[in-house]
Amino acid sequence: MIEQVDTRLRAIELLPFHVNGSLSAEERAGVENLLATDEDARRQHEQLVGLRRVIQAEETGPTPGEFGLARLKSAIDSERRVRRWQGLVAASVAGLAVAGAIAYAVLPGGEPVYVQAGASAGHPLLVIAFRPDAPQGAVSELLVDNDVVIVDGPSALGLYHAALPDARPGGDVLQALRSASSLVESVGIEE
Amino acid sequence: MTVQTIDLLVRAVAGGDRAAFERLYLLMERPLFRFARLKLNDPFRSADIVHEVFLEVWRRAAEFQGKSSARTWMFAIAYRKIVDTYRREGRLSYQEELPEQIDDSADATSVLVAAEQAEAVRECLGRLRVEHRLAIELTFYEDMGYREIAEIAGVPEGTVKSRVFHAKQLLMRCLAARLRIG
Repeated sequence: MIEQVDTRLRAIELLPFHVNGSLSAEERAGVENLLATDEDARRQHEQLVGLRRVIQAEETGPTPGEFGLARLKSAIDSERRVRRWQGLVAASVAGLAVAGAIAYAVLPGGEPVYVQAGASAGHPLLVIAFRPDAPQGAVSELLVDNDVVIVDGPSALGLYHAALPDARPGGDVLQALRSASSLVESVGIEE
Repeated sequence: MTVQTIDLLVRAVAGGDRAAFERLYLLMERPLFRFARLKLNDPFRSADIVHEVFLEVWRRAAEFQGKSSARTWMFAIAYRKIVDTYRREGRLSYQEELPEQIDDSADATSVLVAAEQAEAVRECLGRLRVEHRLAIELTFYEDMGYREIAEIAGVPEGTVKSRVFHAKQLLMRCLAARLRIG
């Protein structure tokens, strides 16, 4: 008796899924057995069929459509730009840290550790744009080899300002950086 | 639209395929919007939900394990966002204040007369708790099985069957009450 009640309750709980056609063949057969013999189950089934019909007929109005897709594309493109910018900033910060460490290592004792952009007032500065894919290690090596110390940057355009070494002619340094074309996109002197 | 097609598209999106993403949008935008719209009753917030779901799909497609279908996965994301919206607005505590004096014996024909009035159904659906409403709409609007709904809602299958059963009982009582009042 208890088993029969359980079986009936299980089949009753499956009625909504019989109505929407999502039951397995075995489950469906169980529900149909109940429907064949149980008046109350048939009444509930009929209610559910009506309920589904009303819910299915519910209108939800126009969807976001093409506008929604355009909005998504724009959001994805913005995310990409931000990620790329963040990557460049991270690389720049790391580059500045390396340059600072180098400056500390090469400067004679007693001289200030940091060379501020303002400290170069009156002296020409190098303006450098590194290639986005330039490895940080190779850039550091290039700067150390040429006694170049970054003093500012990157700007919104990705440009760095660097102090020219006192011990070498500016033209030589400029030429050395230009020849490292796999790392340096452009380099010039700003008076 | 097949479940397999959506699975394949999500895998392509995981590799950054934008054309697949657009195709996925065309296939899934409408059902997801409808799902949100029925719950939130606000086309703008529903559009925001759809937007957020697709952004999450774009960002996290590579994490999709394929344990459920991609369609289920996407509905589950939408489900969480809708429940979050309800929670922010304090709507989760909304009580099912249905008349207790109405008995269950209203005959099917009478209830169906009331059920034919979409407005009555909408109002009665709106009085259900969100988890009951989501269960019954996934059952009757999306024609999903209880296993799929259980995955979307993150609850046992028995809970889904029980929620749909009780939601249906409450809806019928509500509709019968309207019939008597009307």
